Amino acid sequence: MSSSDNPKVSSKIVYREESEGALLFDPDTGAVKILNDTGKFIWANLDGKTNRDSLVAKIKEAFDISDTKKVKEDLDKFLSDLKKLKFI
Amino acid sequence: MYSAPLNICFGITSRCNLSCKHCINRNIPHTDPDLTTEELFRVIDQLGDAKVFQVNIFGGEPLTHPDFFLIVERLNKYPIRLTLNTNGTLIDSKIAKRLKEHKIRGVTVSFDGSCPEVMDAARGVGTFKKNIKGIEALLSEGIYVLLSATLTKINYKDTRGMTMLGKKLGANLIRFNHVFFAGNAACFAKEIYLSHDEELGTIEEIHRLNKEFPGFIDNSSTYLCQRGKLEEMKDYEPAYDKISVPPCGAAQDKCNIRPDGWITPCEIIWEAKCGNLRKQSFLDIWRNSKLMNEFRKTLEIDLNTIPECKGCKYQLICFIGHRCDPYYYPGGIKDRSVYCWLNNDKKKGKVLDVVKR
Repeated sequence: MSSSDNPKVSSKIVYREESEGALLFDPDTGAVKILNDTGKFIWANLDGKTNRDSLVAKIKEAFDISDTKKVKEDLDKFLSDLKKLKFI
Repeated sequence: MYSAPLNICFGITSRCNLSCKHCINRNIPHTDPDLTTEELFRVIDQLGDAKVFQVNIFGGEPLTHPDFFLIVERLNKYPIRLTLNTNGTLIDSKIAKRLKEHKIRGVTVSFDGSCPEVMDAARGVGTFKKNIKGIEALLSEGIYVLLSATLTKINYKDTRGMTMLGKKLGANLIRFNHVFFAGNAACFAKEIYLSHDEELGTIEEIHRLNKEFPGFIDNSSTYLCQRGKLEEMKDYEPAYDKISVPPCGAAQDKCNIRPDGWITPCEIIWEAKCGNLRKQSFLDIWRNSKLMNEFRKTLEIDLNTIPECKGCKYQLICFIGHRCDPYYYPGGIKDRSVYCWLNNDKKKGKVLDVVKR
């Protein structure tokens, strides 16, 4: 994931809010992904306008995290998983 | 608990063009008239609004419904993944093409024999020819086909034949399941239920086939699951006082809608009525039904109520599995499994005498 990429959610993905977290579902493949609160926050910001560095900054602020390196690593893994599933 | 089920079995009609002895949803007692097409539409809208992910269209035989494609079109209004459960006998190339066009992603086809002598004995004269024609039509449209065999005294010796024919046809997967005891299967239990030795031999044969045809036998086949549990059992310490039984998928991530509007926790348990869609909303039943909530709990079973199960090494097979296994026994979901392994045929005899009919 390059810092210049602006990831965007695929329009075909169903987002379903649950009492804890949320679920993503692809009706074409049947793939399901469970999101925790951080995942929900990131998903809501995958608008095609926000790049990776901005996402990192938003996550740090929203969840009061200071470790930039760890946030970058976790975000890259999360986005990579979503990309593999073709959710973004 | 999920806000709504992920998967639903949706029985759109109780009608069927066949009358198989092992059928679990034929001859269900205490049924009401089927939902009308308008009522089905209203149910579909509720499923769509609840963001249900997958709907398996069920019956009866769904393709006997005169409004089948109108019902599927209504489902197509929502981002729901659709699959179909059918006996395959009403499918020709035109129907297969329409199923593809209507985004039916996968079809489970009943498949109970590799030749007319076996399949027709299980499902009725002339079934084999139509069934194979249906499977071929689906596969030629590139639709994913899961062949589903229920093993009875009629066909249990034909598992190799069925596997080889399924492969030859180009099906994606084959599943071998036990008989369950609802509907016709309960009425004909004594005729079709395998003896303990037949059951054991079948478990080993399916295990062999799974090695011989890797990836072709569905892992969720009850016979493969039992083989796995026999392996696990080697390290299992049996309980003497009480046993905790975790919930299965029933009422957790799935439920079943019967053609008459009753909701049950899963498609195997047709008589556990949780609420009717003619009187309650879908989400009200899913979230608030007392019975549905019972199925979600871990059961604490007092083994003093089932003394023959105290310290039994087969507890892992009888208790830790699907709630439908004990459901048909007199004590219901708090009883032991119908598939008791202790004392083998002696117990089997008891099962056939007491199974709910």
